[in-house]
Amino acid sequence: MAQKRKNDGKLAESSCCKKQKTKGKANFIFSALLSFITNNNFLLKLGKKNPPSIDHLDVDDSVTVQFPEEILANILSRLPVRSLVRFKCVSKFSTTLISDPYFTKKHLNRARNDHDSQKLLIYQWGPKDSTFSLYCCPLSPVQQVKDVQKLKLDRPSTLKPRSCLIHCCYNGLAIIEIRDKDRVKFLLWNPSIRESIVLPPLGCPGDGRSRFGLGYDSSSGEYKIMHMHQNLEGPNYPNEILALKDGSWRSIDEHPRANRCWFYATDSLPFIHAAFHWIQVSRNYFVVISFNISTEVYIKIPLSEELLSLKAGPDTVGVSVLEGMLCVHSNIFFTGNGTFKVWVLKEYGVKESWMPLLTIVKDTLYVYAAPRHRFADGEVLFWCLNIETRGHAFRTVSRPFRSWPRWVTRGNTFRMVSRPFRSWPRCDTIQGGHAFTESLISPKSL
Amino acid sequence: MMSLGKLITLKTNDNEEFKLDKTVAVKLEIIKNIVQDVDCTSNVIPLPNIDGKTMTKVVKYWKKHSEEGVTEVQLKNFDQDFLKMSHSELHDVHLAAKYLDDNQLKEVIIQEFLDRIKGKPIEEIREVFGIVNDYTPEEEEEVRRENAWAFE
Repeated sequence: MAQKRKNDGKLAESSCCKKQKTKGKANFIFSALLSFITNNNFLLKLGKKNPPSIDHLDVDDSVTVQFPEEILANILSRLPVRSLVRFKCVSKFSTTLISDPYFTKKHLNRARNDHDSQKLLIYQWGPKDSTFSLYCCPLSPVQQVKDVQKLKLDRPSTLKPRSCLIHCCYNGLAIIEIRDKDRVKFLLWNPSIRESIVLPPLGCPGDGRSRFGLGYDSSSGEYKIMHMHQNLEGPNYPNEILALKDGSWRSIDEHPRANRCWFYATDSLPFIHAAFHWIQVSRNYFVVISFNISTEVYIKIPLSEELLSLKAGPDTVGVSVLEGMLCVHSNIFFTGNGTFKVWVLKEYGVKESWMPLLTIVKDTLYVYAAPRHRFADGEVLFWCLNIETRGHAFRTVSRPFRSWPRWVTRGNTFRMVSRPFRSWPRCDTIQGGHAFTESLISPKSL
Repeated sequence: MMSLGKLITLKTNDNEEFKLDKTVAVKLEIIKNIVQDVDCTSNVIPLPNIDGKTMTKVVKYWKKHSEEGVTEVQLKNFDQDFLKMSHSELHDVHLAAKYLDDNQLKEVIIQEFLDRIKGKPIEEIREVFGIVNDYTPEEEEEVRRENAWAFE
């Protein structure tokens, strides 16, 4: 030890002398020394003998290594959620480690950039038996049948849903609407860890006109849900926000121009840059409105000239998020052909950074399409609505809209056979859902 | 005295000395920066957190990976052999790599740990990480029941 200290001293001394030479070098040395010191403490914490005796070296293999939490967390953060759920059985310590909010966050941050952690949550109605099913499908480049899971909704046993709908997904959590005979309930569900909570009742009738957004308020450190009741004809209900820690919905101040415009969100309120987004239409033009989750301030997102020239209506223009960027999409119809276009806002809030992402000419069977996910190779997944059947399904760009759907007779039923990937569940009439990143976030802990 | 600028000496906490070609050693930011500042007459870098046994492995890895004309396949085979060590030895090398700020070696070892636990039963995972099972048999049964779906 004495020898070591002497060396430490020498090292510190010599680096001090040279400190004046270059500032950058001094910083390097400083960080080297810092890591030197911290590592020393690190080992002491481990209770390791330093230096180890000869005996220690000989019996090394039989000595139980105790993994420092930091290294263990680093290794575990690369595992998929399912493996981590299994890991809970290892010990109480491991359960505590992976339930820790710090670890959950670390895991999520890594999962965001991992193709294998991207999934599509699908709900689907089967006309044959009039039941709803839920699926979790991989969005990784390699699609495998075994990776598609049929999910059971984790819900209170008192609820016997006849139908369900996925409103939105964020950080591995989903907002699900379920209806039984005469009631409607909303759940916050993490399908990856199979846990859900029932959300408090809304301040408006559950008439299917509710739209939701889910986001994380980093200034207060809590998840919040925004609810918008869009009723173009009937009574107006104020928009509401639910901070999960509060346990009840709170009406929020109306947008200053609310009485002269209508708002809509085609299927959800996308959350990005700490704000929910939707479309506001007045007369013939539209704007994209953002509502900040912490400051509760409304801001108009600047649009490019091309976007401003679009004709707006509830089924023509919408907002979404792809690869962490805000997108506007439009569905324009002429006789015969329709055009579906997507623009992406490369730099949030900068008008000049709106870029066209893609244009597809499609036939008129499809009245509405919205982007859901962008794959690493640039391929985009859509959700679309068929005007004739009122059916919904997923598509990718590389398969032309024109060739879809194909109806085949199988027994006595007609089936729509198309789906972007063979492994995905076959779509009969109604299919919808959202892309999400698998996470360990427990709704009960929020 | 070794010739200056060619060789540097790394000294472990059990006083084992490793003479390394400078071109190998300066691959690492931390060594490079220490080397530039170390007193010319001593040329010895103390490694107070690393023992000789672990350092032997690290040096072996560095030498192979900085060999001239070494092919990808050769490196792959070398890594495979290199990683054939006990869990605790692997852990020690990881700590050393962390201290020496060698990200490449760190990643290789993390990947090896991931491979060692992939698809393995709980008992083996405990062994790999040296985690002691602190559940009572009843508690463990309950936890396993609750999470049975993840084992399907």
